[in-house]
Amino acid sequence: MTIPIEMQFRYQHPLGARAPYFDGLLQGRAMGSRCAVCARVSFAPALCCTSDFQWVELPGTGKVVAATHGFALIAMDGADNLALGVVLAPALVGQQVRLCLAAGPAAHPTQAAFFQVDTGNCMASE
Amino acid sequence: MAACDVVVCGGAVRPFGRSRDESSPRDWVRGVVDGALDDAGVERREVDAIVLACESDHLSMQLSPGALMVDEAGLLPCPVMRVECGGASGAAAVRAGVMHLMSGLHRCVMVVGFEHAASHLAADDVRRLYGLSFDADVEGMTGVGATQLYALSMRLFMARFGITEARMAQVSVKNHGHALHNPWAHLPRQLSVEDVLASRPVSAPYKLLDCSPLSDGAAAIVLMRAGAAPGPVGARAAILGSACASDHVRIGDRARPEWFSSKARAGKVAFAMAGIGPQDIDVAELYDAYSGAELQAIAAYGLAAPEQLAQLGFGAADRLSVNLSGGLLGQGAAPGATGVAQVLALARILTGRFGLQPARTARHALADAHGGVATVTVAHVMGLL
Repeated sequence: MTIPIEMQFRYQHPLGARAPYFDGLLQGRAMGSRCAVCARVSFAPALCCTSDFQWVELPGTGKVVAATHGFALIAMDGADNLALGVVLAPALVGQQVRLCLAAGPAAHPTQAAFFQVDTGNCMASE
Repeated sequence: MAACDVVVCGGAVRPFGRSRDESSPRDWVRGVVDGALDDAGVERREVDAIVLACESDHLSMQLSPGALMVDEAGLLPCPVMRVECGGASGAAAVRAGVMHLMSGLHRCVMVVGFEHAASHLAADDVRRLYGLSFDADVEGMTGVGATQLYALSMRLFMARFGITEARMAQVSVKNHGHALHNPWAHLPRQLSVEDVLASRPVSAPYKLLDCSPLSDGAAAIVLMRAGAAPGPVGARAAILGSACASDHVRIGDRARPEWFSSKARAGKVAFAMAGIGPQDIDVAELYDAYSGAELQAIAAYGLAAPEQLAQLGFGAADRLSVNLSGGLLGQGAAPGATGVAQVLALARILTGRFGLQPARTARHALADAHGGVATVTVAHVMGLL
């Protein structure tokens, strides 16, 4: 015998010390972390040598390092790591991309911004 | 520390696949525990600890499954510990079993793993749950899934070492083919490279037949140290080295997103513990969640030079045989059970009991499993003792 079960959960989920990163995405801005010890810049923010870091705003532009369906690894200008980015249109390795604000409300801050090929204007290709 | 000498006395597997017989994971666990005791020739009362692996309570609909399953398996009042480490949950449970024994705290440990992952939830619900198994806040909520993350890592590996999609397809053909000889396998298939290349694109470079399935399944093994274990000395399969290592959870934070450094590190430790090197491995069960991940694992462990991956084969007749069970691609993937079943398969290969035709003689074996995109790797080196 099998029985159907349906469960729904509602969370009030805290984002902790990384909140400015998510807040930045809601505004289409790229907020990264700079390690207080070695000055390594990470976007998304990452703890590095110690838990001490400063927030730094990046220009939001970068270059595609690897791409697959809907996602890319992006070397952000000013960052030392690679960012996982949502790309709405197929991206090619080496292409310049820019972080853009999505139209309409987002279910989660990480769905509020995406990358598109950089034409200097976020809305150009929409 | 004393040399690691944990004998795999015996074990059992509930065949991996999509359960259609209305049985419950509770039935599977009882079945594999009974089967393992029988196979090991060990009495139930001899077992003095149980380690249980299960990746997700969301999948099993059972929090604290250790407490339930020790009762269900008729092993009260044994101490019980539940172990979780993503796809390496079963392997981490084996490692916890090794720790139970090498610490001297216990004499006979039952390691059990199960997962109810394939048959009872909508595919999209399962995909969303597994999206939370990476960095849920930063990446999981974007909608990214395992396939995209593995694909991005593999894209860089392909570019760096000249691996083609056809070479990756050969891995899928090999492992699905190996599964034809494995009664526990989910997807035994006679495939061609063309079949794999023509299968539905999922996330480039991966096509459907490059991706392992999610499976229901369970596995159990009985572990004892060599001094106490039954069986003829010199002909028992044993765990000689056990290691675990971790890497940044987000692949973009890794210096080389294509390089599985947790495997390189875990392998180094496990090989040193066993007193051998990667060149001594004859058979390996590697965590081929995706076809390319097998090649990434071979390279990271140093089992072959990455520059040679395009040319070398790793079938039953080759110097190094990889995933004779079929691996995750062919045997299937039930995260809690996978690492346990890997160790049992290798134990049976080492002792000539796996039913391979022709038999594959092997002196040393490597079991490899990981959670995330090789974020946490658990490695076991095995041999005869």
